[in-house]
Amino acid sequence: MKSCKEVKPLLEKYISGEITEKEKYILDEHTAHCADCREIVILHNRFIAGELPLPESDIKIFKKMRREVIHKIGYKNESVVKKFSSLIERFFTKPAIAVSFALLMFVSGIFIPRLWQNEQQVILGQIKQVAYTNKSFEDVENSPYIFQNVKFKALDGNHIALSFDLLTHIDIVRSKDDPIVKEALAQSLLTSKGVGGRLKAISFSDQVISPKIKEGLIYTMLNDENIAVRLKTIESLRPYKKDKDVQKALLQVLKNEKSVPMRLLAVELLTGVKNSSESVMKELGGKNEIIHIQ
Amino acid sequence: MMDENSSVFNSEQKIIAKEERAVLMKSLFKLNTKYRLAVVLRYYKETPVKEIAGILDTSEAVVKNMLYRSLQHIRKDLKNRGALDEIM
Repeated sequence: MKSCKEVKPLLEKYISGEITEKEKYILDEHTAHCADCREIVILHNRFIAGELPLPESDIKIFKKMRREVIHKIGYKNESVVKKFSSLIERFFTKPAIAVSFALLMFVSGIFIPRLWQNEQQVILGQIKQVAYTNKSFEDVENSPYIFQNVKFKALDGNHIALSFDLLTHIDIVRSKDDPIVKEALAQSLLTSKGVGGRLKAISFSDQVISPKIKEGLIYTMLNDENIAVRLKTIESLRPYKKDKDVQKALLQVLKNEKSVPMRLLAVELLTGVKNSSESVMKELGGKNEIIHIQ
Repeated sequence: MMDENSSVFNSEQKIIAKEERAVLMKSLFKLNTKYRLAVVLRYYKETPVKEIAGILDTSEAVVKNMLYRSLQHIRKDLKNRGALDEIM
């Protein structure tokens, strides 16, 4: 009968999911008589079967918040949303019509202020409809409306003063749940030229929950050229560390990010434990892998 | 009566599962960062060994050894704390 030392390579293959039938037979012969190796196999099997889950309180909180947001923007009545979506798409995906409409609004804004006030309401209504239909960050990228020079100011616990340029400048106050606020926030992650603008948008993101904002934050974390912006974004994703999309993105950070603080934060968010940079750098860079009992 | 019994049973199961998680977490946190990351990636993120090797910037053979040693350590720690039977 093989010894534990001889069977160790087979155990490693079993744990990695690469063992052959013949090798499994040899392993089973050994574990029938060896409690230590058998217990390792049982432990591995329980992990694989998902019988030893990590705590999931964070993901439940995020899912509950997402459900509330989806309910508020009317996703429940899908047939109505779909009808509006197809109507808006047909109108606004024809560039000539969109540009003409925008120019008309622009001219009206300069020469007919009183008329413009009513027309501003019309535009806000149209923007709101587009914001309803922009479900993913990709939709925001392709939106016929581009928000520029976006500015946010917290007024109270529930309202944000929002200003942005849409060929003409708009100043409005809206509740945090308003689709226009969510759209403006997502757009500002795309279009803010200055680092300050993007940092400000990220700092407001924790007050406005939305799938497209989450996707926008992930995009910013992986693609923004400025390290301060990427660091602020990864911190802002901390409440969603259990979310599958966020976890995939954190793995991308570990693979591709050169910045050490970014990689440390990604490790912390993935494993749930804070480590000092010195100890983690030593462990991640060390060649002698010794289990350290803390 | 049947409903009450099943609801008590479910509550007990939840308590047992919670205790198991707490016991396991203690052992997991005793691993060093690299080993803990390998375990989390393999069992909770279902990442293939090849990909874990890329993330940790090491070879597949080293990752397999790390996973084996991690399970050994977790098993030993649970045994020392008298908690192995709870998990097994």
